[in-house]
Amino acid sequence: MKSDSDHTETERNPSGSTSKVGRGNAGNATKLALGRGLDVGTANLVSGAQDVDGNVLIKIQRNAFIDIERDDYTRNMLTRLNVQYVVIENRMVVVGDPAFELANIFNRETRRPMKDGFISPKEADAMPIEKLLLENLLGAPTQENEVCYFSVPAEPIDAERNVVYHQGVFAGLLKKLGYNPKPLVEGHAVVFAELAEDDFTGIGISCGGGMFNICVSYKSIPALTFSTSRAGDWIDRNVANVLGIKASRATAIKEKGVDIRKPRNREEEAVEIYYRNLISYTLENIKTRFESAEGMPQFPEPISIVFSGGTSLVGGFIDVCKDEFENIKFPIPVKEIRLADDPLYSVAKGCLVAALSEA
Amino acid sequence: MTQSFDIKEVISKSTSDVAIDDLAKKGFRKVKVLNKDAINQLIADAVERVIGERMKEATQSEREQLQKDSRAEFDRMLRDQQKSEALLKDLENEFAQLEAEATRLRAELAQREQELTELRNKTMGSSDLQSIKDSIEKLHRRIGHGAAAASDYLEEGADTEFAIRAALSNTGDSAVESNVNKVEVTKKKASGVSSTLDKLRSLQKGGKG
Ligand SMILES: Nc1ncnc2c1ncn2[C@@H]1O[C@H](COP(=O)(O)OP(=O)(O)OP(=O)(O)O)[C@@H](O)[C@H]1O
Ligand SMILES: [Mg+2]
Repeated sequence: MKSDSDHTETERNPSGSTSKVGRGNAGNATKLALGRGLDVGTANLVSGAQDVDGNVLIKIQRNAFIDIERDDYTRNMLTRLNVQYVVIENRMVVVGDPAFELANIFNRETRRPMKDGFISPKEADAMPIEKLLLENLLGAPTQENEVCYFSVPAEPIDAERNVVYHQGVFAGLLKKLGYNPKPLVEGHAVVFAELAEDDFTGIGISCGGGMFNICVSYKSIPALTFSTSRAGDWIDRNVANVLGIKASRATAIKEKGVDIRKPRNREEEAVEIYYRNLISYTLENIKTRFESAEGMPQFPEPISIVFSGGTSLVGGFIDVCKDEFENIKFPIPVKEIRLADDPLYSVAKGCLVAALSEA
Repeated sequence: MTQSFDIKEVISKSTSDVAIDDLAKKGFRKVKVLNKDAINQLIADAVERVIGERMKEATQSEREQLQKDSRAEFDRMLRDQQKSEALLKDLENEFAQLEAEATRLRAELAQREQELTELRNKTMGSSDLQSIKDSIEKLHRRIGHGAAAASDYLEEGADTEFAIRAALSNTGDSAVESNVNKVEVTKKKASGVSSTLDKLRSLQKGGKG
């Protein structure tokens, strides 16, 4: 039930304890530099750390769970299959990637602690699950009050959300784990991770599950940040709707290797349609914001636009972005539209950069 | 018994049309004109006279037959009359009954309306009860804190700090049984950030990136 990867390694925490200090450098565990990055995403939670050799270590978990019947057999099987579970109020809750896989096998929907970029206040079990997942991704700090930058969405322009609550909740969870939490607007994290070559000037976009986060930056200073609440989940919901399937099924189809420049069947066509719609919606919004915002910097040179996030992983994404870009009259000269180096880890890396730069 | 006949037709069948000019040629200066009603009257008078004469001449048995026939005819007419009266009475009765039923139904409707109003008022009472129950539940949630309380605070537009504190009060710190820390976690390497970090630091120091 675990995804393979060339880089996949495993880590065990034999005690399973929540001791706050020391684990990071204890025993045979990798020695880590001070400062952590955490991408708090609707779809994925991603942590980033740097070891003493300068390698960036990433851990990623689906921010999802599903409850199943509680019995001893299941409990043993889950542990043997490396499936993580939590018992909450007498129910066994499977968390992370396996929850997503189980949902697909049983044709059910996963439950999600977050929705459209924000923690859902309505999901009663969200707190204990988020805490466990974070604990699992970050471990204890190397040093008490180690700085951990975590991503927060910018104010959405098309929805009303309480950013303060969301930020406060994750800061609180990180404090409980012994970290010194510092929020970083998600688009800004993309700028930190991807625009070093451009003097941290340009537009960083994180195309996530719940939202798109946009940051226009001049020499690492954000001039304009905002988010829109149409993203990967929005595509899934709409595709599921037109095809009459479950949203988690639509997610699986979308992630299986669709090329939106050449859809091969009805399902992929549906994915393409909503992708195009989403991309043009985003570019239009950037343009409008750009034109209406006050105090926008005068960029002396044409800028780069960098796309990151899981939603940018679909085949042909950048080509379609370029297509749609041609269709609008963008207010400033753009020299390049490109994909991030590690689209799925950009935000975690940006947060890590911010944390390391303070150490 | 009576045979009605069409005077107009009888006249037209038993007369011939003569042009006024022809009559004048024949020396007629004046013509007498009879109308249809006058002719009818003449005929009725003639028939009356004939029957009167006949009755005088009729035999005893003929007279008795005639009386019998008349009597029978009278009885038949009387029966018809009585039948109609009975029918009318029936209809009148039926109408009265329907009217009574309608009145009863109207009364019942009023009664039901009354009951409905009372029921509505009662339901209003129990929704009051429900809101009291809800607020008690809310208080319970607040005491127990957790996500539900946080959600209440947010919905009410209370200070977000309260909501955050409520949410963080129930993170399952002690009670949760889990194997999360005992199983393997996917770990990946990403491209390094050292040069990025150097550029950022130099920018922060005011140097060129
Ligand atoms: N290969 C792929 N092709 C297309 N979409 C993908 C692929 N892999 C992941 N995704 C989608 O990317 C989204 C998750 O991306 P990401 O992890 O960047 O979001 P997030 O940070 O969790 O969400 P957000 O920032 O909106 O809160 C999901 O909608 C997922 O379905
Ligand atoms: Mg994200």
